[in-house]
Amino acid sequence: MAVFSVFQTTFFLALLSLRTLQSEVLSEPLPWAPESLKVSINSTHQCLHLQWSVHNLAYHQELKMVFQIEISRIKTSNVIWVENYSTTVKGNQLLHWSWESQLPLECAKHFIRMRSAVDDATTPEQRFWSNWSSWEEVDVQNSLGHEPLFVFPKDKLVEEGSNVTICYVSRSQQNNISCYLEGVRMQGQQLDPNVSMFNLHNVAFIRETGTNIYCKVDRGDDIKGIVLFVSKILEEPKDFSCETRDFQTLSCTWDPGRDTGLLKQLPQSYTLFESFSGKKTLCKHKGWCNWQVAPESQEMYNFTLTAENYLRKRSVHILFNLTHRVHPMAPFNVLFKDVSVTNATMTWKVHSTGNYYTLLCQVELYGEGKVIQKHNVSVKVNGELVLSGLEPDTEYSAQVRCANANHFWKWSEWTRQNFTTVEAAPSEAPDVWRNVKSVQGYCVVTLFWKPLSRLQANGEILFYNIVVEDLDRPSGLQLLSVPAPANRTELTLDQRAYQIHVTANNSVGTSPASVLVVSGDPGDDAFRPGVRYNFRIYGISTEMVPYLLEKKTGYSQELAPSDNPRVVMSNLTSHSFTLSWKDYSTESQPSFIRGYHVYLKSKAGQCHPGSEKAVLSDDSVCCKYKIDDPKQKMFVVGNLQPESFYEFLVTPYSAVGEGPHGAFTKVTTPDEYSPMLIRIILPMIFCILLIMILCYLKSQWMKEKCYPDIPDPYKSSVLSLIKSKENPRLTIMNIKDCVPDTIEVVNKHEGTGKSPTEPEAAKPTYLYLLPAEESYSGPGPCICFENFTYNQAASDSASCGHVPVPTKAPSQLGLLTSSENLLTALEKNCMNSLEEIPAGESSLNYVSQVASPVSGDKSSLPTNPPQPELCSEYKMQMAIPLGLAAPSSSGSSSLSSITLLDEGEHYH
Amino acid sequence: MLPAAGELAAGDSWGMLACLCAVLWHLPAVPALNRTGDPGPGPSIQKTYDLTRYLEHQLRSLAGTYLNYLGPPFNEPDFNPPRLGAETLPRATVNLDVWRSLNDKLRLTQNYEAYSHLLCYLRGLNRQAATAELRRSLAHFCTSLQGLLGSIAGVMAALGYPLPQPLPGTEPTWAPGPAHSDFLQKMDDFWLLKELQTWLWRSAKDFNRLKKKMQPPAAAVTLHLEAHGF
Repeated sequence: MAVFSVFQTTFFLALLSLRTLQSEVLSEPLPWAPESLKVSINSTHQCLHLQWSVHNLAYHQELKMVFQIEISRIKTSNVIWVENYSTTVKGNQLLHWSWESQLPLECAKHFIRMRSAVDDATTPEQRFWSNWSSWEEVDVQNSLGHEPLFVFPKDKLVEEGSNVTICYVSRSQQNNISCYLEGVRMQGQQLDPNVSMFNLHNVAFIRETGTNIYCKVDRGDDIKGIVLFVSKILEEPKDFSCETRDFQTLSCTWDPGRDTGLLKQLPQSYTLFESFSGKKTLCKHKGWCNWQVAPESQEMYNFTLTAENYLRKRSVHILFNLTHRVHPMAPFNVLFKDVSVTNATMTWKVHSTGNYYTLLCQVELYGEGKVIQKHNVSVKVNGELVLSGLEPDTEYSAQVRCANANHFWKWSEWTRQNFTTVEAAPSEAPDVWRNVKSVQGYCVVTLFWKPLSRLQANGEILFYNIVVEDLDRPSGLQLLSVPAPANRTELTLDQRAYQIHVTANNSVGTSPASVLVVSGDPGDDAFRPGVRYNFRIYGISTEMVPYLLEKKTGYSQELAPSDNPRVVMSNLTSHSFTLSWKDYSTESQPSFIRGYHVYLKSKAGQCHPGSEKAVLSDDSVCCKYKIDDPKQKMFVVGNLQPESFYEFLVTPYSAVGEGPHGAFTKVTTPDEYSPMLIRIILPMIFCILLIMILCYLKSQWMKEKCYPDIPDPYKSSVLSLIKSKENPRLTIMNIKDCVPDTIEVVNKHEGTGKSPTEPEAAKPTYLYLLPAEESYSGPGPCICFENFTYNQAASDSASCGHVPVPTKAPSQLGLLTSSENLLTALEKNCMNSLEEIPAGESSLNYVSQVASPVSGDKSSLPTNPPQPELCSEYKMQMAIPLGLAAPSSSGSSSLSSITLLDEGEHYH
Repeated sequence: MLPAAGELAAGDSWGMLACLCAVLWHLPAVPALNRTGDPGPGPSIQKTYDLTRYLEHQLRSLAGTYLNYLGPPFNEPDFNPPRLGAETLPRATVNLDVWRSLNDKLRLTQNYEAYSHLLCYLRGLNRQAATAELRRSLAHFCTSLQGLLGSIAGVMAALGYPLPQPLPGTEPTWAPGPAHSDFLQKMDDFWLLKELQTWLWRSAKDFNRLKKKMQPPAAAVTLHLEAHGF
């Protein structure tokens, strides 16, 4: 317990003593406070330089201290900058610190003060600062002088993109001052009544002579300005590389980029520094620099290229082995030796690059401007290459370049040299042609030859040798030499057979001979004019097998065609005719037929398009049609006039003329309409004949169809008349309503063929209706009536179209026993008839003898039907006027009777 | 007062050509070429007059280029700053009465001295120019101005006037010190060109006046000869 209390007491005492010490330190100034603070200015750099010392620091003492510096502008309370400056202070040392102001120092007063502390990096919060020094005032304006206006900063140099602050100081507050940047007025900010400042942001390069900024008093002459020099930003050098050509000098090059030079600032400088040797050189040129290779055979180089101007430095580095950067010099002493017809040996030398290096050289051989051979050769000192496969007497050009074979860097420049191969004897015989003429008993032979091509000549042809060998006298040789440019010569020989040898000669030798034989008889000229010759040209292969090369056809001399083709005329119409001469052979003519002329003479004398007027040898004028194709052997002469007289002639033409103008063929064009008439009338006649034959063959049928003997009343046109009057009471008797009692057909007359126009001769047909009832008493067959229905001209309107007489009438008769059947059949007819009756306009009406109570008008039925009389004769049917028909018809309504018509009883 | 240099626009080449033709036209009048007899100072004055006109046109083009090179406001047509830093430049402007009362010797001496100074300044300008083309133009103009100076010296010699000797130490120098700001330097350049232009105008008038003075009326000469005859 006692030990604990002793420890506690000691702790409290220690704590108390520490506190006491602290309070003493705070109450008294630190011994090493800043003192002798001096402030100077650098207007050019807008810098404030501070200089001070530390109070009471022992001479040998070294202390790490921090100084807090405060800068105020215009007034002390306006602090614009606070900075802690840490440094190690030795005894009696003067300390320096600089500060660059954005605002030119001339524009405003600045105040500076500082305090210090021991710099304890571990506990920066617990610094014990000294007292502040007193404010040091910096007022440059006082020293400016008495000029009315100033502009600052003076002639500043900045980089592009910088921000610059400009101010003016005016001595008079009354003056209104305007400031301009390159002639454009600026808007400023007033710092105090006499000072305004202008902030320029991101300034750009305008010109080498700088950007002009000036201020002037509005009502006065005074003008003050500055020039702001804006430099382009210095670029890093690009494409920096070094190489050697001779192992003595390293040549370094680079792209310097843009020039940052100004009127105020020199262009950037370049410095080359090599780190292994520690050497440095200032480059005299903007884009290249030479470096002397160290004699102690330094292999590795580490270069630093530094570009520098007033404002900035930029550096680039390269590290390389010297042997990897060898750019050999161009080969030299290129020579050609042992130049033969097809070979040449090329030799050259390379500049020495030390014994350890092998060069790879590239040789290119040019012939006629094109690369024809390429070779790669390894070379130590001397290069040699045999060029083969060359042509004789040909100029070639060869070039060579070299590079380091082990570490390729760059090819050297080419070195070029020309050479010409030597000549050889011509390789081919000259191509010789001859022309033989007979002149006064002699044979004049003209020889022509083509100059040999360069490849065949193998050199310059100097002359041609012609050896004439008399075949009859083998010993007789004649030699003739013709100098080179000539390509022909003439020989006069007597009329014997000769063999002629022609050779071309250059300085080296003679070509193979071209041999031809002259028969000596010019009369044997096989070719005759006007005869067509066909040639087949054969080549002979190396195996001596002939093969056809070409077929040629020709005339030694063309003659005008001697014959005109035989022309066939066809398709003669009133306006045209066709000419053809298919069998005309163009190949058997005395010249190449190129086409035909068709001459056409007419009285009109006018030529249509496609033809041209031509005057014949007999002064007659005609139209000429030209056919350019010899294969076209047909021609249509058109645009002719009908019923006109024409003459035509077809004649071939060739390069030398046309065929004879012989007899013209005459032709007259036909009438324009006769062909048409024939075309129409003939078919018509034929048709009519055909109809007539048909009519004759089918006369019976026709008669039945169109002219039946007994007309069918239902089909009669009279019905149409009834209908047309729209009289409903007039109708045709409907059989359905008739109840026959007895029908007896006594006799049946076949068609008499009598015309209804002869009523007197007509024999009436009677129907006898047998009484069905007992009450009906009458003397035998007493009811009979004459059918005069069609006695009148009512049949006039009848036609074939109204003949719907049932063709099965005879069979119907057979069925009459059945009244119902009969009724049905008749009803059908009746109804049809009623329907078919059109509204007629005729004044005639057909009135049925039997008034039908059904189909007739029932209202008109008589209330007291007349009593039938025996043997009463039925009224004659007759045509009556329309208005009168009704009453009469009702009179016999009660009588059930019917008129049955047989086919033989139809009249018309 | 003589008219002050108001325009320093680029001269037209036609004008230059016309002046060149005029110079060629008057070449026969040059004493060295004219061997028909002693013609007196007249042709020499005429030649000098023509040369001033030619130089005036040449300067117009040169000044346009140079002031553009300096930038605005110096190339603005209405820029007329106070003549601040250019005090050492010889002034061309003079009171008209004073100018009229000048005797020939003084007139010629003033011209000679002015161009001596201006030529010296102009050479300084040439050394300072940054572009090669501008340097070429300035060098060409300096050569022409040197020719004018020689021509004036020739006139003075013909009239029997001694050439003014430059006092030792008063040779104008072109040495912009560090205190001389770049803006003031540009202003000096501006004033040099402007003063040169004014001097060329004034010289044209000076030599025109001299020319008229040196050519007595032909009628008067005739009368004088007749008087001798009688």
